[in-house]
Amino acid sequence: MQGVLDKSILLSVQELTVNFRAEAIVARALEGVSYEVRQGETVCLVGESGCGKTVSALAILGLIPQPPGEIPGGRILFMGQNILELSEEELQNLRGNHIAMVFQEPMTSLNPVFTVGEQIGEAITAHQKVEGDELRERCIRLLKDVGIPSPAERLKDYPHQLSGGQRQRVMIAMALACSPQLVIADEPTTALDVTIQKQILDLFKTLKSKKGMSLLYITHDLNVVANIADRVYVMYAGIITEQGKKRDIFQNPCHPYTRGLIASLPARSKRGEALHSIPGTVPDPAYKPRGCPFHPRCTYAVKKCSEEFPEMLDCGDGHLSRCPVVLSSERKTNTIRTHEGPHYSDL
Amino acid sequence: MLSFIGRSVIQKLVTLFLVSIVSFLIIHIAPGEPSQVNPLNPKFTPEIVERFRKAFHLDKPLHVQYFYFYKDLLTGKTTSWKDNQSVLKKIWERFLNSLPLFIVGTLITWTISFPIGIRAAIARGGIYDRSTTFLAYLLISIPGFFFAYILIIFVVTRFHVPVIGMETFGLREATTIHMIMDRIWHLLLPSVLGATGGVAILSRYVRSQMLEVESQDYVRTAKAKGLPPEQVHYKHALRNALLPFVTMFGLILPGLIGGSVIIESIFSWPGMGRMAYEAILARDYPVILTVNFISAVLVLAGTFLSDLLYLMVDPRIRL
Ligand SMILES: Nc1ncnc2c1ncn2[C@@H]1O[C@H](COP(=O)(O)OP(=O)(O)O)[C@@H](O)[C@H]1O
Ligand SMILES: [Mg+2]
Repeated sequence: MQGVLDKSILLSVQELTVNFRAEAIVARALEGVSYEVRQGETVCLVGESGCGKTVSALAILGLIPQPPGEIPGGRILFMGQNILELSEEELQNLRGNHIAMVFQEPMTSLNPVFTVGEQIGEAITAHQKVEGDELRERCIRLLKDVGIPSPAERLKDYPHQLSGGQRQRVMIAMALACSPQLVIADEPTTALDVTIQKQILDLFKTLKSKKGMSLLYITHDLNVVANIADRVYVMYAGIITEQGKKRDIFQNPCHPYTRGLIASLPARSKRGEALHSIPGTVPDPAYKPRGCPFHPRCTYAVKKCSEEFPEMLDCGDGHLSRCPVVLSSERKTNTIRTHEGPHYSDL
Repeated sequence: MLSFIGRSVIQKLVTLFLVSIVSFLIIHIAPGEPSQVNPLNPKFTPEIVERFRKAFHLDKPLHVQYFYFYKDLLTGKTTSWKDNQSVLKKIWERFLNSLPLFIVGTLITWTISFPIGIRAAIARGGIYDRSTTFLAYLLISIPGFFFAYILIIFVVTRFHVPVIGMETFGLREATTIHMIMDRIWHLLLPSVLGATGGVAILSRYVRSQMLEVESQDYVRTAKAKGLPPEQVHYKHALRNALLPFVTMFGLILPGLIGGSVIIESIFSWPGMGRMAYEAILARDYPVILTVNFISAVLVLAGTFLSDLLYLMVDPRIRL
């Protein structure tokens, strides 16, 4: 880890709270979520489906539908500016231009009635005065950058003529159109075949090192995290449960949820054994349990867990966890041991 | 493409043939016969009835009658049983009367429904959306004839808009300009009234289409690119929301002949709808069946047209 801490902070989400209101029911999708993305860094937001990852990404672009959504608290500072206070025009200037997003579903995220060329071109002309041949050239270069063969012909294609992987490449090309400082990728490989997943992931890595942008990569797959992340935020039921450098998270996970996720990985060393999985499911954000939201599924849970909402505790060197039980018990014996499981030191 | 057209045309011809049989059977199986229009009328002696039946082949078996009828129809020789006039000529005259009503009504319906529906969808849940929703349901639930009388009472007493017929009686010698103005003036109320129900229903439909499209992922993508709201709504969303209406557009065609029986009756408009209605009362089979046949042709032509239009506007459909 070379001097990540020195890099200036590009995005800082602070105590962000998002609710969705339906009649009298309030779904607390995010409850005081904080995270940071620094210049040139790849940050992974990881957690099971339904824990609020997409909502937190949409909030950054000002795309939470209001109503039913509401943002009663928090700040989202991007280059020092609070996004939550921007006007609609200022948001438009931000979207695609400074912060771009790649969505989960390449099949439905492209407009079926416009050609690839039109849709990429539009991502450029929304922010820059480019037209004619120059625009075309730039679209072709973007498609080439994301590894689409014979890009000039592809410009005339409609989305349905492309495979899932190619569509996601087009989405990525669109995101890169104005060379944004931050790219948010919301589970960009979840809907794709395994072999294609690997290619897209590699593409992100290549592009990142070539263009030097920051990447906020959202996933539920720890393998992907192990592959791409500099730093990791683990999310559960609308809160951050653990955060730290990739090494800390994989080699010294301090939250039972993180440990459960790691244990559920199909590890090379354990081939043949039944896969572990965390019992139960993510709670509905409208009916979260009192205390630590994870306690009903937690094997470490004690009485206190159902009563007190856990604070974020320091495990040292920017590694934070929201589980007092693990920390106190394992500190007493003075062994914050490497969790048994796959070793990611080679990653 | 060509094979699609060929296949489609053949399919439609087969359908048309089946329709011609079914409609012929329905008419003949329905109770009552032209010769019994008024059995109490002393002029209808058994001999006259018999002669009448013979003249119109009513004494022959059904399949022979069917053959005679469609032979006449296809050679354009069908005549009305009521007044012995050529049916096609009759229909053509009435058609010309109905046409302006149809065109103006359709234009009003389509040009008003879309802006209303689209705006309601974009500002979903707002005052505008809620009041148009209320109005639409009000207009849908009020019976047309009742609404017509309310309208007639208010508008006629206030603005003296004509409510009877297509033109002022005895205006033959007036100048052309005057006559055209008179015609338009007469068109006003029936076409507005005819369009009201259409606007209420179509604007709802536009709204729900638009709402559905607005929640699609690609609309979110368009927003995430930083496009201005006009482009998000009127380019990315609207273009997709319009697709199903292309289909509807072809289906307007049959409305050409159907006309509106109620509107035409209320306003004594000598149009197609009223003619068909009167023909049914008089059991004037040739007129009924011809109108029926022409509507079937128009329906099939309409669906064919929508298929072609769909092919043109939706890039996902290629043959
Ligand atoms: N537009 C919305 N209306 C109501 N609830 C929503 C909406 N968007 C998200 N939610 C709720 O917020 C929670 C978090 O969703 P999401 O961020 O999509 O999870 P994920 O981590 O799988 O991306 C879910 O329980 C979901 O039901
Ligand atoms: Mg998601």
